[in-house]
Amino acid sequence: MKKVKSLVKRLLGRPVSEAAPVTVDICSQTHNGFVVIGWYFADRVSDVGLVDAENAKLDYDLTYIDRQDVVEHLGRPAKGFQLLSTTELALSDIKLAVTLFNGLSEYLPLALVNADQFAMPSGTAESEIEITEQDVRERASCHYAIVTDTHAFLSGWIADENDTISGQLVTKKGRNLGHIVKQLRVGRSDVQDVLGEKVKWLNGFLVLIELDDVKVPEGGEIFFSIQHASGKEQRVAVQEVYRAEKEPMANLKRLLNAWMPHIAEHLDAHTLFKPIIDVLYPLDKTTQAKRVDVGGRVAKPRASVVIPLYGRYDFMRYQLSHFDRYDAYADVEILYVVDDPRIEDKVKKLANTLSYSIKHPFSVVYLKENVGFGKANNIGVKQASSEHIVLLNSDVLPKDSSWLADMLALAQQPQAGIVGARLLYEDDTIQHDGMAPMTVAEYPGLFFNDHPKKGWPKHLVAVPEPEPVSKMALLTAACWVMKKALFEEVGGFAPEYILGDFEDSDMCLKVLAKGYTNYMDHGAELYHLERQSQNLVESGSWKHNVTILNAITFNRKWEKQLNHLVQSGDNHHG
Amino acid sequence: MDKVVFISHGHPDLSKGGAEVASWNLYQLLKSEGVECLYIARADEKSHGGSTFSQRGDEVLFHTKIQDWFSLSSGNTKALFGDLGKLLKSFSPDIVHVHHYAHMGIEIFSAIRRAVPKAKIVFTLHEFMAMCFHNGQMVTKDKLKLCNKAVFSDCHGCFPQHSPGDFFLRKQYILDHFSHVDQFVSPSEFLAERYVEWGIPEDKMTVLENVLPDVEPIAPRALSDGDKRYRFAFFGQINPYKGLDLLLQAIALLPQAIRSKIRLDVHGANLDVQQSSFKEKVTELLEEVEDVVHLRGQYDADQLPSRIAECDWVVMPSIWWENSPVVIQEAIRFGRPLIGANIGGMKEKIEGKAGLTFEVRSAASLADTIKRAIEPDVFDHWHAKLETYACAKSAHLKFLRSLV
Repeated sequence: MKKVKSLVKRLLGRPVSEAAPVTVDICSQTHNGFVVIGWYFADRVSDVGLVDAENAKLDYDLTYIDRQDVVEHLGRPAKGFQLLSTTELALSDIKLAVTLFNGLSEYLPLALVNADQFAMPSGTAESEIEITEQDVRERASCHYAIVTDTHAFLSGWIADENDTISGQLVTKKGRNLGHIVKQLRVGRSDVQDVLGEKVKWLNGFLVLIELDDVKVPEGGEIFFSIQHASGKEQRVAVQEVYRAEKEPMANLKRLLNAWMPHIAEHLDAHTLFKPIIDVLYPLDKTTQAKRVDVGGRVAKPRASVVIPLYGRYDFMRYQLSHFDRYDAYADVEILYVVDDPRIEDKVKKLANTLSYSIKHPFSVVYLKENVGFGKANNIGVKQASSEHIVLLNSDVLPKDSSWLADMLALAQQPQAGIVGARLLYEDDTIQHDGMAPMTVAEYPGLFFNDHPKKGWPKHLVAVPEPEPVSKMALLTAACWVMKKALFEEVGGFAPEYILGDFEDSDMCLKVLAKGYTNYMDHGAELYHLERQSQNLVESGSWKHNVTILNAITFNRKWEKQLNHLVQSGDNHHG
Repeated sequence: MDKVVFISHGHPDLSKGGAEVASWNLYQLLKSEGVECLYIARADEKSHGGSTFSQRGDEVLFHTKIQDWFSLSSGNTKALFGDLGKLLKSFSPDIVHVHHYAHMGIEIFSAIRRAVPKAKIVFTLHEFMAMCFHNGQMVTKDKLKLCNKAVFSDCHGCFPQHSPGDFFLRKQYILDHFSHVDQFVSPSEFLAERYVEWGIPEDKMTVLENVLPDVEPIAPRALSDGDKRYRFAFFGQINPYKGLDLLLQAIALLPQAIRSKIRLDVHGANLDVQQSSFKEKVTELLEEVEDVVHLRGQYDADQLPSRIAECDWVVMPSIWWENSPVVIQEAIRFGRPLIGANIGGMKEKIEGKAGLTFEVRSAASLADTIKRAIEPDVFDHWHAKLETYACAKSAHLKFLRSLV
């Protein structure tokens, strides 16, 4: 509520529309759904809610907000609201349902509005976890533990005097389960708001416990036993115990959502998460893959195109329509890898529909579990029957069919490593024309992947002549061509990046290390409808934190090479 | 040209839109020329025993639907590529003339190409559906402003739930399937230019006016002494795009001396199915000018001559571009000059040829134009011009014969 009020304060003075019965001030994505904040005329509207495309009610929390500012401004009764929904639906499938006093309902499509103004509180700390009366009495709380066979991660707060916590994880009977090996104290304004300013700011804690050769009992109560400076011991009940391997994605969010790596102490403490992450995403994780061929297989393909699908799957219709249109693809194998069990049924249905309308054979590899971008591609490449592979994102659509032959010709040269393409947004501006290492102020010493000249009209970005080709160390895997043997020689994409990040630049550096040369084919144009902003500066979400962890992994592995690239300017754009 | 298949998104007995009527007229023309024809009209999904096809008169009804109106993709690729494909293959036409993909799916062109690879595929454009998700109107969604060009980010502005990238995909998908069309036919230069600018190759575009059945011109209404050309008629759907509200506003602006003599007949229906705000607006305006306006309701084709005979001028006050409205052709053929808005297909077909134009969306300009039009000499001038009208029949025959 507090957060909402402060946001509303920021919105005061925004011009208000008098015509519409409902005004949406903010519509933004949260880490697990959407939030819609706005107000309505209380003499016209009786209620608001969220519905799906079929007008079926969604699950949401509705909070009313006093909007005296609107009442004063317009001289009419008005009521503010916040709708918070946990959902996997896309925003395009969600509508704002407005019930009017005349009995009619209106369903309004939603779009992102002032999304940048809604910085979701970085931790579960403030957004989801309430401070109960018992917490206030005990002046401490331990929200949850994420446990593995060897470790436990604890998140909570305590109004203590110490800078660091001493304590153990114990059973109800007081038996020791494990001891603290790493910890990080975290600022919690929500606790201060409830307990008063005298409570210190860094009252929150993130703690890594190493277990003493015992397992945390399933279903049993466990406690975080904390020693105060006075020598007094306080037992804080762990409210929820999550087995790490049971829900990797949910636990990853729980693990990282209170981490604020832009603070130096937090960044330094990154190893705190590693023992848990190693269990959430084991390096050797494999999964069952089932290949279904639609319309047979292409005999002796000139190239195999590998396209992972995650989340949105309708791109398949547009891509296959494109491949079906041009004869140039006649001897090209198309392999989709469905890295998302949630969409398996929908993909099957679409593949069935397309089996009548698409003449070109295609194959779909269904993975039993989500393994992430790199591993999904590794599995796809294993299925490829051509000597040349094309890695393509599902949201990439070629301009015409000319790119493939040009890129293949380059990739076939003996010393050629990876060949990348010029990728464009739908308005013919640059999305990718080669990558370069960049630093950002918040994370000194870490290199990230920059897309130089992103958003420039393409005619303002020169193409080398006479051949539209340049040497380029780092390339995006959204579209690239290489020999299958080379992909295998470097061991495929590295497994240590969580969810999918940096695998492409990592492989580029592996290929360079083997003595090959990577090329950028500026003449090969494809559209990349990059949907999610991959802007690093938007901090404050667990996804951002995953990127930071991956960046640390990437930089440790390639520190020397990255510095060399930057110093030599080899990777720079003209 | 021995065998021609027509594909329409509706049977004119069941739905009397411009595209259905245009395809029907051409079908009748080719039959009269001795060409063996098969007319396939899309119908709703229900059919005997769930069969894909049924029959109405000599025509085949094709029971199918569109699944996704955004990408215009078929909900039943099996019906399109399987059943329709087999029917086409068995009939073995040398031309397939498509008059719409609506309700069937944009994949219909690929389906035809695959079934009868050697046949020429002709597609007649009727509005902007391929480039504008707003019912093909090229008018913005909320404010109904005229739109000159489909720019992805602007389309996203009309439909925030679809990203600019989605509109890019939509266009690419449509162009993939349009690539199977051998010749596009546009009934107006205006529409042709818009589509060429959008992405259809110029050498695949032919402008040919819609074919109308033969009719005899009707003599102008006889005037008694001192009488003027006071009778105006509106033919068409009553919806926000056709601009009846604008015409009623224009009448309300006329000086009482003229207004007391004028009569407007409204031949059209469907006000009851419109959105409440539009309905209220039109109802209010109708009350305001009830001394002038007669609501005549829907009419059948055979009632048109008698209804048109009653009027002096036909008014087309549309607020969208229009393509080549059948009403314009019919008015010209029956010998009635027109008053139309000065944009798009109306400007092309009326200005300097068949009557007067006024500043689009301006009730004042329309009122001024009506004042001019009542003068008998103005009427006589434009009426005389209508006699030079050339029928598109022979042009269509020549065009189709040139393909095979």
